[in-house]
Amino acid sequence: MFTYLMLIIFSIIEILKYRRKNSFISYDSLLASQYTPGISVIAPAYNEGEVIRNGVHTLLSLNYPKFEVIVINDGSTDDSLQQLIDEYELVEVDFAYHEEIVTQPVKKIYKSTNPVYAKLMVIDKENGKSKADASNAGINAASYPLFLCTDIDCILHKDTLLKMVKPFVEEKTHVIATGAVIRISNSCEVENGFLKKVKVPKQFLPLFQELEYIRAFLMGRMAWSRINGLMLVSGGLGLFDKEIVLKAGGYSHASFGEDLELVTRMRVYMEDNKKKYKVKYIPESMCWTEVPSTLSVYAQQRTRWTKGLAQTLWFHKKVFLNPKYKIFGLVSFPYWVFFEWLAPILEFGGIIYYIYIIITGQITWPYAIALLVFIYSFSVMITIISVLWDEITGMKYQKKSEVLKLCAAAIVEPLVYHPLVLFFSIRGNWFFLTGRKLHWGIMTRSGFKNGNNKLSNYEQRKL
Amino acid sequence: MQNNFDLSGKLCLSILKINLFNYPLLIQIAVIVSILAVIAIFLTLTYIIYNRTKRQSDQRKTYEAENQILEELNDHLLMYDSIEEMPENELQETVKILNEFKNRSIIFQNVLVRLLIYFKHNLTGNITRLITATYFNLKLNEITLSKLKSVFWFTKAQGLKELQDINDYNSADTIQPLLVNKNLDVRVEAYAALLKLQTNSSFNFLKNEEEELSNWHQILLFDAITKSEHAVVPNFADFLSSENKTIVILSIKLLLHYKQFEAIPDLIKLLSNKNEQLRSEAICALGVLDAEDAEQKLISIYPTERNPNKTQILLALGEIASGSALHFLKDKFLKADHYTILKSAAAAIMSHPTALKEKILASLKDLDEEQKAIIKHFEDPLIRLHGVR
Repeated sequence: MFTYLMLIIFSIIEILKYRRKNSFISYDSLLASQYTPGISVIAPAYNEGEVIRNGVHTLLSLNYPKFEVIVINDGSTDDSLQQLIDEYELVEVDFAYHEEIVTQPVKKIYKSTNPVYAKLMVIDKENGKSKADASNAGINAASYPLFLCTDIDCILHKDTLLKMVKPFVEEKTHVIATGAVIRISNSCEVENGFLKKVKVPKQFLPLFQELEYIRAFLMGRMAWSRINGLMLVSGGLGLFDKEIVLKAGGYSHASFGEDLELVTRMRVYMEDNKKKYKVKYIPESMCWTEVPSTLSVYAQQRTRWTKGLAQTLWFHKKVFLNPKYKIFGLVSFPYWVFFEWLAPILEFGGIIYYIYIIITGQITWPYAIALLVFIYSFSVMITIISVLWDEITGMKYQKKSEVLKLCAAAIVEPLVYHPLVLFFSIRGNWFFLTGRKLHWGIMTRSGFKNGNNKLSNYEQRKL
Repeated sequence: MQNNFDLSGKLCLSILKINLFNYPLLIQIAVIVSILAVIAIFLTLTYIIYNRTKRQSDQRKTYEAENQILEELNDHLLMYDSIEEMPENELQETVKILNEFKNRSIIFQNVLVRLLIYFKHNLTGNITRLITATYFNLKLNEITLSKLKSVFWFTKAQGLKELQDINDYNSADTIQPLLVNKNLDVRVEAYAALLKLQTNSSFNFLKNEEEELSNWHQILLFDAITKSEHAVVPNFADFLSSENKTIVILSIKLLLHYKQFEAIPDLIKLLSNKNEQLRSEAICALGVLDAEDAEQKLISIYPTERNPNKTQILLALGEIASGSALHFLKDKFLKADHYTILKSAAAAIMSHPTALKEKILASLKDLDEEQKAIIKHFEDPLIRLHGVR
């Protein structure tokens, strides 16, 4: 309870600080400056034939003075590459590809002969069976000091780079990574890869995932950003210092939670080398992505997330309560161990014990109900406050009824959705403990209303 | 009926009161927290609904205000190219109407400030004087100046930004106290405002600022200085000896912008500075300024530098491209022990004039696959600039 209250307090302090700092600034200077740091936008793609052209258009339309877009065709078996070659007038170039991080072999590298698309580079490589491998190939070829990792199906706000680079140029301490709020696009109106209207998801699972995202990004991430304890910058949208990523070894091919693992490893590298650093989050919705709407895909995704989390925490166990790693080792890492990894197990154990003491009469019904009401009301309060934070940061939904729908969902969430989260978290832990194999599955997506906008096949880690 | 409700309410309370104190401590806490959580949920929901309703109402009013003010501005102000073209008393009449708008509500006032600043910012020619005159006649500058006296630093910064946008030349005295404000953001906005208003003391901050500026601040100040129309640009080499590292870096950026070649000797001196970042900035600047005089010094410090600065030296020599460092570059290319050195040396060789470049390339024998690949990379016009700075 205390932890969640602290998260509420720290997150609102960070959000208000951000709002104040942005109440008078104009991004024009950053946009016009030759000293704005360059950014390589890295977008892996595997069998994205239905979205790849629009996806690349969206990325090339970003509002930023110095950037390149690197699309990695990760051994697609469809016509993704040919579409790109035709659409963007690509030709093979003699690019001196240097494999600083080892990846599956790169077959060819393409650039456009049309100056309009000069910012685009396409890497064709053999499939590496993970997003990490494709991203690493993009990092190897990136020419700028910062890189943005995203997915080809993600719909980015046009000012994403401008807003996300600001902590890098604003902070005097070395910023190694920034993230921004990711939202759910399942029911949004999209045209040619651009977002037309933001709407609350209509389907059961996406609606509750929207609540989870709001809570995780605007409360959790902002609070951790406040105390520089962030351990995760989502794979769907993260801006990184390339040099530190390379020194840390890039994304891990073996991890099922490669984004969490990367930030953890970057932090370990910085702490081991006694370098001061920050990982920052901005409370603005910059990316919209589609989430699983069917139980089978959802189950696969959540199981993988939990397994990835357990893998990462186990791999970096030396950080746990280690004073050498300061706030990272003494606060963030233990929080992830107890509140993210072990919480579902403890919760499940708690439920079993709760039922046991009721059955054996060790607790009276009034007391049992009082405890249940306490847990329920507290969790609803946390979620409703997160919705308020969302309103404070931007009011993304036009209609009042949409916000009320979210609030109504928050009231039933502990009863109808949370049991699913709990079940799949325990399943993920079971997979981890028994060493059961898990594959990067194909994520079937329903796509947007516009038929041209079906989304990615990559499973992504967003929370 | 009312009495029945009162009675049942009192009964519930009394039951709760009696029982709560009999509960174990854990249950007491659970009940109290539950009650507080329910109250918090109720209050949050109420605030969300209130906030939504208010914001929607404000948006509607803002939209209406915008329409009315825009109509007035279009019909009676923006249609003229200059004040001379206006019929007699037209400006006074327009100001009178706009003044009525201003006094209607704070929303009208804010819209008026925003629109006038917007037009001032986006239009050119004599019309901007007309807009400025209207702004001052409406005494909107007083609203802006009042922001400078706010207790909140961000309101002060907002006011300073507005002053820059509207060019309030009379406000210089009001800005002065903010030059020593304890908040760096406010100070930087004050510096930028003074630069825009072109006072004699505009560049004093380069001597006086002791706190390190972030890259963001440097970008803002660079922008303010380079966009200042009539500023007397100082010799930025004078500030290269500043003890504030970030002032030195900003000065280097500015002297490059103004192509102050006379700063080359001072930049060469900076190569002996103990700060690695400053040396790196100086190396880049010497390259951009085509400082042939610096080539030997750059070559001489090469062995003592770490890889990041070594690559900068190679690239700088490539930019200078006098030809006298070609054998040095060839040597570094052939003996590179790190990929970035190899790539930078290749980039430097390939940026030389064709005749010099061809001569060196012809002399490169027994290259390995990686070296050949790099040379091919820089021969390809589509990617030759890729990965170089």
